Amino acid sequence: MATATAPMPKAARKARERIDVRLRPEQKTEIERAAHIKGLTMTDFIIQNAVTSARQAIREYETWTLERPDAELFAAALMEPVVLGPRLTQAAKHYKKRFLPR
Amino acid sequence: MTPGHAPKYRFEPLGDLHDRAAFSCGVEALDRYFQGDPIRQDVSRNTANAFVLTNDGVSVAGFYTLSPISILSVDLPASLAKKLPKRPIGATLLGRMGIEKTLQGQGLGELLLTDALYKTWQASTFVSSWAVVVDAKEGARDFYVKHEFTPFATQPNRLFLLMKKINLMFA
Repeated sequence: MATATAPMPKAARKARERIDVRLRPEQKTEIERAAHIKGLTMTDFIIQNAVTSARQAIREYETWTLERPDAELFAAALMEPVVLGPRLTQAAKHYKKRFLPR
Repeated sequence: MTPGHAPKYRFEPLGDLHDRAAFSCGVEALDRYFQGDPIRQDVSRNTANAFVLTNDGVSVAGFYTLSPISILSVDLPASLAKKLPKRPIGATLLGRMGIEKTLQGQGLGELLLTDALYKTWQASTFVSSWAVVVDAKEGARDFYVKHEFTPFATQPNRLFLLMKKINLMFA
């Protein structure tokens, strides 16, 4: 198991948290090999990759990128006149009666 | 609750009094999200707002979450570029929605959705939102199609409902 870096001077020492992760031996071997190839400790390799992957997941969750067919569909909908269908008309009517008196 | 009388439901922002542990909608991932820490973290970090439907301020009949989201269009043809800006536009993500499993089949889903649309519509009068979007999990897609959402072409589980249409519901 890779260990943390050598003790830092007190001022530079930042709060650290730890997580324990269980993984299969072959997964560990593979990560070890990849970390070695990249010249990183296992800890650094795991952290760098997890953080990159986390940021990407968050970005993808917060921003939807529309490829051309989707953008065209969306833009076309924006240009068309809108008509409310029966289902949402009813839903709005019921909702107003129940939750928005007057 | 008196038999024959519909319970007096109301919507409340998710709070400490709501009995999250007793709630189950039957979808494991959603239950884990709602019963455990994730929803509390989303709310406390302000990444999502959560609302619950309750008749006593404690028991939860259903819940949903809303969060801001950006929609970025890439590679737009010139004819449409005028209508849709190149920069990201604001929309509202209906992130999760669940109904207590013992109360399903009573139209509560429509009630939750309509409340979400109403709140989004209210908010959009202050901060622009072009649409409500949803990433429907398996089985839930039909519900949104029935409620007049439009699926995207390349990702049919992602659907949108334009704010100008929602405006017709409440304006």
